[in-house]
Amino acid sequence: MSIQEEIHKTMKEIQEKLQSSQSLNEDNLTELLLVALIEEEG
Amino acid sequence: MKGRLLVIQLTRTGDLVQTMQAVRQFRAENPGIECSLIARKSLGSGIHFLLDTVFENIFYFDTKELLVEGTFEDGKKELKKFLSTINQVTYDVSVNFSFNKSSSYLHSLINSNQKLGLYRNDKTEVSVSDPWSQFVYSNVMRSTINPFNLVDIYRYTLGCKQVMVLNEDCEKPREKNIVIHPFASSKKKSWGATKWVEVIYKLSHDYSDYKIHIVGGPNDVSESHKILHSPALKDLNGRLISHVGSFKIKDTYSLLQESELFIGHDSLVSHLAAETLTPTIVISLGTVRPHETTAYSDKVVNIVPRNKCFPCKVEEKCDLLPCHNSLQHQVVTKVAGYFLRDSGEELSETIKDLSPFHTSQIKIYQSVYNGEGLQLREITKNYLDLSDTFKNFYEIIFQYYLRGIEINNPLPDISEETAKNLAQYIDGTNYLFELYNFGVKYSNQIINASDKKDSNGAELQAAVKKLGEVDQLCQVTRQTYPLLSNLVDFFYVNKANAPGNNLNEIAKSSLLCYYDASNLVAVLNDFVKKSVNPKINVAESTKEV
Repeated sequence: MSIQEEIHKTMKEIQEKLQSSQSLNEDNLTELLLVALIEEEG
Repeated sequence: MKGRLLVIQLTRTGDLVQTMQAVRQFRAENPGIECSLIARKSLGSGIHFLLDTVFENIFYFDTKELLVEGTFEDGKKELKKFLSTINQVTYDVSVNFSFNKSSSYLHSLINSNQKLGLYRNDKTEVSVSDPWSQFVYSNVMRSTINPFNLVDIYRYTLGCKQVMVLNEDCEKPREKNIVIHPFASSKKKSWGATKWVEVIYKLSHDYSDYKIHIVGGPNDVSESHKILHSPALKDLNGRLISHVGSFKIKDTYSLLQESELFIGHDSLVSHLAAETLTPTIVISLGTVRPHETTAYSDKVVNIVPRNKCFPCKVEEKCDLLPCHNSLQHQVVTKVAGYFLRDSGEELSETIKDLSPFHTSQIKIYQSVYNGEGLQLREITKNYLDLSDTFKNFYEIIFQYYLRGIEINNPLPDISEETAKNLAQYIDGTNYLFELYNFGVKYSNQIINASDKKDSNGAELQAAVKKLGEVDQLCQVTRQTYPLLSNLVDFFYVNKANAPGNNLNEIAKSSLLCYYDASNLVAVLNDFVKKSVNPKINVAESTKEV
């Protein structure tokens, strides 16, 4: 799986979690941080 | 006092220098506090020699290094390793000065007892709980009329009270060098090779015993050729020296320490010049906001165009660049003379020799330290425009509201035309005052209704709906009177971050927001009236604040 596909999968899981009103854990926040860093640096 | 402070700064190298300048002042006021920094390796390593003098611990990271194994999962593992190194201790306070997405997530992963600046709550919503960071989020990020220097905003966020800056004694003896950095990060901010050739030509003839050094990064090499190979400069016989692409930041810093003058745009090099206490001329163009980003030193003269479109926004397209033509090289070389001749003459006297043709389209600011920070004093003595007038008002209002400091600024000297435009804001502030008072009224209704044992759901819902309408109307007023946006946006962000765990608590916090907002807008209304009245007769508004 490419990094793009991994990011897509991770974001989908996080969105589902947020839609079902579950709180995010440290693991999810780390994933979001990594995605944001990748986005910012292109 | 003992404790641990962690600072997050993930934006550009210039911002890192400004962050360091603020933290240095914080340390001077609070010796014994251990200060740590998180920065991107690519942006911080070049100025490590400076950062190292202020921060005990510096944590660098590099996104490419995190992803060196090529998978997202490995990147996550590396990131967790990095975070566990940072979180080996709990920080008393962590502060995020970067206001971008990644820094907000990073901040929420830091073990700290108090978070200042942007972070994410457990629903990943953006949270900004301290008032100065709310000011940055609402005023610096969105408006072009923030009256405060960024270093001062960082200082205020950290709770600094005094202005403690570098001492002249640390200076090395200076040689007859002029350093020029004629490049900028965007076309809008950069004056262009032709204008810089004119400046260098004039300087080289007026100051024939000086060497002129051009500095810049590897990306500036091709642009530098346009200057270096200009026929006008071919006879300088080794007095024009280029270090573009070859000098590291530390080399530029050392050269500035030995130089009598720096001339350039608002960029990292101007902040380095401030660090070396080098007299500086900054040419601010395009998107640059001089009051916000002028290098933190009282040896800076900032030359700024008076075009109505200045400063523009990054996203606005501009092909003609009219602000570039408002500035003439004669002004730059005249101000250079003020520094290099060191005759003891005031700058206002020096520039009197310039023709109105050269000065009518510009403002010249000289930086001075007052008791609260760095201030730009206008030397050209032109009438203030509408934006500058509001900048003065907001300086007084926010210094008082957020720091309890009373600033005594004189009433703005404005033209009759500006007074007419300003008079329209009497109605704007009246509308806003009424709206905020409705906010107070409906917040009180929510508090009273939710305090009752048998609280009425319909009554509560109606009051909440009314509050929503108040907020919408505030936005409409903001669009009609754009210079009120600083106040409207601040209280919007302030209210959105109002503390509370239930409706009653949130309504109590909102009540305070609306109450404060109505008081501040009443003060603003008073300022507007007092500034307008000496110039024009304004028919009294039907509703008085």
